Amino acid sequence: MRLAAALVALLAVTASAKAGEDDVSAAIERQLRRAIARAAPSVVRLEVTRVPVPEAPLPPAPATPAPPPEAPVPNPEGKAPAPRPRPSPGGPRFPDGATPPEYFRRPPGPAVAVVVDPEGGLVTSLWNVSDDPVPEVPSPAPSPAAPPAPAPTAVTGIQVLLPDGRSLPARVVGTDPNDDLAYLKIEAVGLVALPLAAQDPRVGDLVAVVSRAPGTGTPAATLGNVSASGRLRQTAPLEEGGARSGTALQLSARLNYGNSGGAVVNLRGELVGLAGHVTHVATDPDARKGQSSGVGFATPASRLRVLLPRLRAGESIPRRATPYLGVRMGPAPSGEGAALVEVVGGSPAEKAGLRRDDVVLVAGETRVESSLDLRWAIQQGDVGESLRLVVIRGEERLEVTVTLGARPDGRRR
Amino acid sequence: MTPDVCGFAFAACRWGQRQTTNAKRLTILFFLLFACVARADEADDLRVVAEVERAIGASLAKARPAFCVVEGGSGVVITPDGWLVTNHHVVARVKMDARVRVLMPGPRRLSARLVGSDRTGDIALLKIEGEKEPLPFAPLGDSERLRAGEVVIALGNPFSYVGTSGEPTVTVGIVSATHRYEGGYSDAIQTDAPVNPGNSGGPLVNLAGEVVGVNGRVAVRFGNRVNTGVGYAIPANQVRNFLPALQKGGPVLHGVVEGLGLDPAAWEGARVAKVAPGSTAERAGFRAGDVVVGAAGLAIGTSSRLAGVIGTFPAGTAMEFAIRRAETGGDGAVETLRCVLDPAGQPRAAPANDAWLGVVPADEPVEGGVKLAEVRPGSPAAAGGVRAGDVLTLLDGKELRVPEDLARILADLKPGTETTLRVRRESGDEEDLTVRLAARGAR
Repeated sequence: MRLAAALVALLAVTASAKAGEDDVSAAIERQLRRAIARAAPSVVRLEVTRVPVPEAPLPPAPATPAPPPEAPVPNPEGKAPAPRPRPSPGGPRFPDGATPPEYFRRPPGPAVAVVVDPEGGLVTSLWNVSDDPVPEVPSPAPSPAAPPAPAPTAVTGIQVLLPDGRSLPARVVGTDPNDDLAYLKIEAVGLVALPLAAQDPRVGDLVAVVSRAPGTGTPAATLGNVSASGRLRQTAPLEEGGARSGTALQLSARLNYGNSGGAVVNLRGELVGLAGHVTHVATDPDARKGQSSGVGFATPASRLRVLLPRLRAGESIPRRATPYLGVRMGPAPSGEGAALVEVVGGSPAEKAGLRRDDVVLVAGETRVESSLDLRWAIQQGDVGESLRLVVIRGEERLEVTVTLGARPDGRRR
Repeated sequence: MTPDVCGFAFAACRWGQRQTTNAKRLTILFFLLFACVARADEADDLRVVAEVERAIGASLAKARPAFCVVEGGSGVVITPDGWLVTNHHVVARVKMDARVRVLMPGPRRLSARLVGSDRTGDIALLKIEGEKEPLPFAPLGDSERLRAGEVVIALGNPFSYVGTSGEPTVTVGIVSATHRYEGGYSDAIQTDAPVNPGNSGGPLVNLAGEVVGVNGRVAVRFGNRVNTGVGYAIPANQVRNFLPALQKGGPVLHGVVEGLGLDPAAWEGARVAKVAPGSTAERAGFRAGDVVVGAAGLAIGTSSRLAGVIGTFPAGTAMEFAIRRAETGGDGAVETLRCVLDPAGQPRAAPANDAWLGVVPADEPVEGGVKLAEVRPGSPAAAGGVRAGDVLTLLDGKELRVPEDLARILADLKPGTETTLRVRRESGDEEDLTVRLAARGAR
């Protein structure tokens, strides 16, 4: 409401608006109330029951003591232990050596979902209803000072609480880990479905995230604006090799654990997106506390329109394999480009003839100024796609075309 | 209104089911009429919403193309010939005249040279070079016209989500307060537009698409470096004041009125506590007991606001002060004093090159020296025997009168230098001590 109240000041520039100052403020507040009221019957609470899953037993104690927690986690290429099957195909994937960060684990408390089909179809963030990720490698011994991380959990049941007071069990019909969606079905008819907006909102447009308050179950909303579109949303920290999808809306409306899966509506009360899980702080190790920062992500209406019919039909969309080149990168001696510090045996990079100490200057359409650019170029590609690289080898300038592979489990890059 | 209408219609229909067909029709007709009224009302409101969104969109259309990513942080181009403003701390590791890469929406990759940097004010100026066509830019607006409550938009690269797209994160908020005195940010704009690490150096724009501030700091709690709803921006007018000095390159000096001691406890106006003999303040005509009520044409309410206004101007600025001196023999009328601002300490190129003593001056003004509120444990001062509560009177053979002198003297000294200082203990005894200065960069 802070924003709504402040928009009074807009009057100065909205010369064409005939309304007085109070009318501008009041109009926005009225419209926000209508939007919330329109969305609220379609926003339902989810009670997800979980049981702790014990982490895999620790390997035999090493001869040397575990490194102190502040030491970098040793993770040399090629020395990764054999990956173990993971219990959760839906949950975020963590590469070898990486502890699933605590912020990927669900805090206790209800989540929300949005009714999209009056015949009992709901959509929520997959994160709300998927198992916790279990590390492929047991986490290093925690520091005695650090609080113990909660044990990973697995979902045992999902209960939907409708606004009319009914509580019904739900089953997961379809999942999409790339756009962070889960389609749920409950045995009910005559529900109020929230209509999808015809268009995605523009950057700068006002949006509200509508959820339900824990406890009382009354509608709860945060107001903000669309900060960006086509964002690459992280499913794991970039530096840990996380895959990204470039379809997310970025929102300034505060997102917290409780409104993940909530309805992102425009001030007409149309569904313009589905609030995703709270990972916005993933890149900053200081900020991995899940605090709402004004940077949140949502799956836009255009994606929902394409994906909901597929999910309703029972599809479990596979996680998009992480494109993989198979090199370790470092800064180039000249300061320009990404130097290949290591080329993994048998990798797409080796097959394409790339060698250690090659310096990549261009990847596809991207000028590679640092290794980060090359990493982005790889991640924006697709498995099986070719990527043209311009490479400096000694005095030579070469063009190399690589076919991106899928990152093997347990490999970081 | 809509839910009420719905509720009413729902109840009416339930009732209608038990009534005659005519009654049912009447009910439906009544509902339709009601709905028409409600819709007309909503159409008006939606027009206002559309106006608001159009205003935000129009501002973005102007400002967004001028956004740039610099050194993982943010920046903005303010002229078509490529002058680019960011925070000093964003380019702190860049050498003067060195080139950095700049990413603009498009994405467009450009090269810029670091021309000038003001560490105290946390502003750096770069020049985009090698472009033949005029660049998209967002002009500096008048930050003095900002009012609390005004809608502002922050453009930035929080958590590096811009990636290689060049498209900034857009967060809409309001001006929470103006003229916040936050140390080096002496005249900060406080905003609730969410800004986070990576927003630093990015523009805060008004709805006219003008740059009214440069986002630079976030008030954080518990060391959790994410937005709390309190962000600070450097005002555009300060940037404009420093632009000529920054464009010239070389050292950028903040202004100060040498010898003007203010009473931090005064509530009404900025009360002059003391005027150092022979100082600029004395030559300008300041007297102890004067109350400064205006500076540079701006109203002054407190001593920190006066320090704040002075902090937005470089050394060498001719400034007018409006003072009231009822208690010191004047008739209560406002008088005007003029002086040219002295340089406040030496500019420092990089923190690692700074000599570090490890003392924190107290606010309390004392005669003939600088009182120390704190001596950092393990610092050169602590090792040399300096204690909190001491009054530092001499450092490297130079006299200290105001806290600013400390930085000025230290700026001329190199880390590792052994030097002497004189302290007056709380007992009144004076002692000469020897200290070996350390490097600030190691802190």
